Amino acid sequence: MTTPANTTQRPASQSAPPGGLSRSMIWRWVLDMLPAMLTPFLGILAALVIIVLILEWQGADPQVAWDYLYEGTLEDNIRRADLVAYWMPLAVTSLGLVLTYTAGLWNIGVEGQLIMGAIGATWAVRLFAESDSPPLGLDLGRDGVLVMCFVFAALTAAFWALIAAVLKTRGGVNEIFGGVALNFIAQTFNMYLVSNGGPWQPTGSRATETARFPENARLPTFQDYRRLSPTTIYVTVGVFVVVVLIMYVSKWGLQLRAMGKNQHSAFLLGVRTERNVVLSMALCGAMAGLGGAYRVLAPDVSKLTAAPSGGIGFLAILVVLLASMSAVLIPFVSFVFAVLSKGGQRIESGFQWDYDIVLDRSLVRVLQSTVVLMVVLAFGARNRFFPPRSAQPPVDDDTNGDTNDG
Amino acid sequence: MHVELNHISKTFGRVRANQDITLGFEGGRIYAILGENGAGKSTLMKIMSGYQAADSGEVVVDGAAVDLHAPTDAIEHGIGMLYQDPLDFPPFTVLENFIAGRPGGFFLERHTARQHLNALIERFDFDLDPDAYVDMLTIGERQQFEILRLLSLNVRVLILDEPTTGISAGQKTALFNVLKSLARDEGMTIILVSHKLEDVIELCDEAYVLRRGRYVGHKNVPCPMSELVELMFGRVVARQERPPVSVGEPVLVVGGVSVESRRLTVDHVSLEVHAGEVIGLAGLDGSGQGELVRACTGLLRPTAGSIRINGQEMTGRPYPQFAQSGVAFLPAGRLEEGLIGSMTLTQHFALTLPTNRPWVNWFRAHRVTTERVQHFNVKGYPGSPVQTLSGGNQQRFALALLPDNLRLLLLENPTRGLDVESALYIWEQLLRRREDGTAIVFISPELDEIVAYSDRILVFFGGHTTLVDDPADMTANRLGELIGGRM
Repeated sequence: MTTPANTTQRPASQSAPPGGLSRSMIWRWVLDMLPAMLTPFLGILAALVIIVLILEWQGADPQVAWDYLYEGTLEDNIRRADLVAYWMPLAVTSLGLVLTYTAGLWNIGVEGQLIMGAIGATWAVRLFAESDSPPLGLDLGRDGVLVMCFVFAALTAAFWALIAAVLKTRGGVNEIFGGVALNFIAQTFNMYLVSNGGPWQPTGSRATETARFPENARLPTFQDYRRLSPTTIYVTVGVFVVVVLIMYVSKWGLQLRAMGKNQHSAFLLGVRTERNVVLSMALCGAMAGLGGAYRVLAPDVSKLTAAPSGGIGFLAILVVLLASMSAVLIPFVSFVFAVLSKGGQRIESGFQWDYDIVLDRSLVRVLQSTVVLMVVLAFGARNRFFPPRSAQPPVDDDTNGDTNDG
Repeated sequence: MHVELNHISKTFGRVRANQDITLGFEGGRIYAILGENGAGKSTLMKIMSGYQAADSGEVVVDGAAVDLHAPTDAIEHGIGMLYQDPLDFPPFTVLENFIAGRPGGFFLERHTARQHLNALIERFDFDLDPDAYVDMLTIGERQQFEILRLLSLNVRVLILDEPTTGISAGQKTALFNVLKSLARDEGMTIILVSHKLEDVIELCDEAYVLRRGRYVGHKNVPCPMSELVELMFGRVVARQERPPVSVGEPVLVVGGVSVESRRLTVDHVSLEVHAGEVIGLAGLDGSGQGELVRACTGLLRPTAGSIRINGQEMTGRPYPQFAQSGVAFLPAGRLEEGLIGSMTLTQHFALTLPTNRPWVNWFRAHRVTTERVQHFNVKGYPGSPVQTLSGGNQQRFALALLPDNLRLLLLENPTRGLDVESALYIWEQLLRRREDGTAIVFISPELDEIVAYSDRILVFFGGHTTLVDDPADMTANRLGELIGGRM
């Protein structure tokens, strides 16, 4: 655990009763932590072996695949810019999920929340920026329009998350079931908006997407990389700081942790669990909504497509699981997943063009899922063979007295 | 058929549920396994019926040790158990349940099953409709059905776990008649697990008594109830003299409150608790004490009546409002509800210390933790996760976590699983709070504890309550009879 609690407790343990912080205690702590620290690496190692086997089976040279992975993501600045453009929505959505997963809420509905964010951003564009006659007659300028886009995205997505939260607290509907249903509705609603003469499909168009957003609804870009906007980076860094503060400094973060570990005890200890369920879901929704806004406002997209999320919501769930709900790990883990996604596309196209080997499109997803599966499996194996203290049955006294007492 | 339990031991963590228990059962007789809550009766019977495995020891059927890995193994050897909660599928009909529990091929064979079931119903003169849905049946009818089902599987030893809880007097008579005839006429072995002395004396031929996981004695029934009580509860401790504490104004007023528990409804409980008073709630497990206490903290909505705290109407208000009025509740399951096992002592204080700031002051939390932990003699470091503490220390820590100046403190089994010394320490702390005007209401399965510490006792039996105003001349024996239903 990387809580500040531990750092503040250091001096404490020294002043504590006999023994204090002896060498053997440190050694025991390291032994306790060792399996936990090695686990993810073992999982990744196992995943790599499986991936190599799959590639061999498909007749593709894993070495070449590795080169493509690098080439497609990190080789030159343009690739790197594309990678960052993909990384940002994934990171911001994963950061939101840290809040709900810490509180023990399996917010599967994040995919739908991201889609609703994309719809919300598009809605703001239509309200405040559409070229001919902004319906509200306001002229906010580009900055104002973009702010409204983010605000609308966050609010619509938070609203979508609130539905799941209220269904849970008031209706007793598990957030997983509510989320799955709401994902489906969000996707269908998005499809309705942009297809078959839907209200947001330009008249006469047959493409299932809106028209390209006007100039004053486009994110500013870097001079050299026209597909990457610095705005998304700033906003994501801001969200990162907020989530880190919540998780490691605020009392609310501690409450979320307590709820995730034992909601009933937390309630009896005075935590307003119901309110916190609603709040964390709404905040997570808002952050996923920002991710959705990045997706539609991306300089090379700039429109609401049939599938604005591209599965980033589901991918974010994998990221949070892999980062075991640690906010500070999210940037790294989401980066790895972004590399796998973008690089995977390059692996596929590279083999097709250079070697005439057709790899299945879903191979990328197989690669990502294999990593998660193997890491989760590694955690499971660790819990089985090296049970952490928390997994051991509570120690209870009997008439023979407490041997735990020093 | 002759069944023996040889040197059965079973531990859960560090709790020794059964310690080297050896018992024998003959055909044609009705046995009672007697003991207070937590004496190890249910554990022993679950081992005998294959529901759980013993750590050591063996079950011997007709001279041969048998391996019981699942209830079906036990049934194959002729041992069947009727659990406290009927093991049926409520959305199915009686007939469907009957078929579900039968070994058989792929096809349902409804017709033969129905004939079989009807024959059994006729034989015992039960009033069961094979096509009725099980969730429409009463607990008593579900028991009847469960017995028929076990009989149809050719069970020769029938174990019943607290079968008379939640059934009517008429159903009880019918049940006892059937059990008697099964033993007398069919030579079956009947084993009744109970802590109700009335039932035991009415039905059984012999009684085995367990106490704290050990077999402590055997009696041929009928015998005087007091002999059984003495075996169950051990020596009876005289009530300790305590300095009288001046009793203040009423803190908690319970007016005609009805609460629904899992199986029974407790009707019209009225109780007035004054500042500085200690009230003990006595009763068999699940007689509604837990529900009443939860109603007094806003965790359970009473179906009728009113609850006033400090003269303020609080019925139906949520738990946080009760907490704000100075009511605290310590449930029995320390790590299940009350503390968060994997969080450290400091984190607990950080979570509960009142503050207006949105961030955690870890230094303050740490300072307070160190102080309180020392004051309450909790053996553990501020950075230790709570689950690494021993049970006694967990309980001490739970007390340390409570704010000062409480108006009302409700406790469920405050000394559960503690050794005598720890229990005494806990009570010392509790009685000290009393001097600050805190009223204490506690539930305990230990009658000695109730008699020793209560100013008044509320006894729960069969959905009714009896208030004992002056426990000075109340002994654990007499209390045991009261909670067993003998007025």
